[in-house]
Amino acid sequence: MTITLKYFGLVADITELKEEQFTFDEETISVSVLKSKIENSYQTMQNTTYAIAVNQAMSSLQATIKDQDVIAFLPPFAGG
Amino acid sequence: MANSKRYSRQIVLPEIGEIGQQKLQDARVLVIGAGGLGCPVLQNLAAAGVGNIGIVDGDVVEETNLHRQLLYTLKDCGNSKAETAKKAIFELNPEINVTVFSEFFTAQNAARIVKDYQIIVDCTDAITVRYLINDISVAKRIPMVYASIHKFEGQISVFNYNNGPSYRCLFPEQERLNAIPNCADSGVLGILPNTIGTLQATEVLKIILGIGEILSGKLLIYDALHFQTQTINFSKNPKMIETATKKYYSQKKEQAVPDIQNLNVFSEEKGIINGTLFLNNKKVETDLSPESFLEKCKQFGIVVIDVRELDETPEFKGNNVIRIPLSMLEDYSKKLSKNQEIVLFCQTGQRSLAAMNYLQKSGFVGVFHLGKGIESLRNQIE
Repeated sequence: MTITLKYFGLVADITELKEEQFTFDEETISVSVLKSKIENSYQTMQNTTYAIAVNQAMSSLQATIKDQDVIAFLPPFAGG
Repeated sequence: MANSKRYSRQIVLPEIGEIGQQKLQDARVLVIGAGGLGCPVLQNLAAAGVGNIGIVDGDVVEETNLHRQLLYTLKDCGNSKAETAKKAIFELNPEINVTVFSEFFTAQNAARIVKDYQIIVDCTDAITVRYLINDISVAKRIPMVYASIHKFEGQISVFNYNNGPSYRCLFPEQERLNAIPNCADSGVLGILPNTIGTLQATEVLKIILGIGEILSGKLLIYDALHFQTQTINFSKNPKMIETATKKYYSQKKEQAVPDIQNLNVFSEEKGIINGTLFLNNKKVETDLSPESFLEKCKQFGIVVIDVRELDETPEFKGNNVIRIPLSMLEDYSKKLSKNQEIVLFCQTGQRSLAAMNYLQKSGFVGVFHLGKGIESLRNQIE
């Protein structure tokens, strides 16, 4: 399956990308598995707080991700 | 009625009209933070004729603020932001009332500052303060219009609107949060907070006017650099609402003394002095001892309300005992006659005192509470 990952705020600062595509052998994976895969690719993200949205809806770690899904990594912002 | 010439171009909109303008004039909005977001929010609310605006900021104007905080000029540097902002928006519109709080928003002053306002606009730059604002908004059921920025990006949402999701439902509190940088640490495009603050002010006006669709349960993200917007949906998490309520009341408990004083000052107007109710000129003690509480509970027709959260122990059982957490009391009390005698209790007497003050303020005439809470009863019920 191929999914699109979108990065925001501090997460985009770490990945140095706004968006990228990932392809996995699995047909589906859970949000928590994706989270550990991404934190493995970008290790600084392990120390970062962020929420994950799947297809424009905030998601739990147990939710399932399938082919063509769009995943957003959303850290809270602090500036005012 | 407000000066209708000043507002004629918005009064002509059928969604606003004379009635809408009156709603704006009567509205009471608290803006916390008079920086990058606060400046455009204040400017727009003042120009639109929002009649009562509170400004909270303990900081002074600095030269590094001037590229984005457009209410201030070079000669204001070193002066209080809240005072300077008041002067600036007052020049723009002298027909409004502006109250200044030249202090930082803290757990100690939160209740005092918030008490007269219907909407809170969160324009702060510190996540810990944001949780504080969220928690008091949840506890007091006040909508919180949130925005925050990072470099070229902004986030906006409306929390606690008509019982909707809260900030904690979106971002549960975590240890790492202090590490999130603000504008001073990570930099910001000057125009960005002006764009985002203007959107924030738009939500405030829509809430006051009751028009359009409010950004509740939705997080709008704006990326100035790529001109992209995203809207992410999120739902209410009852656990997070409970956490917010608990946090607010535990913080209140830690600094209980000044708040009790405030509540009593307020109560004196209603004929109640320091926990004593005067009914038909007869002095009645409203703070019950464990013994008189148990006696009162046996009284025919009395309603005993446990205002603790549903999972708090020890349980106090009885035919006339009902569990209504403090956050639900407002709705529940609407079903009761104002003459209904009510006995309230909680863990330590803090929340039941707040509940008693609330009910008295709403016109209930026979309200009592267990002065030192269920903890003072432990021997009798275990």
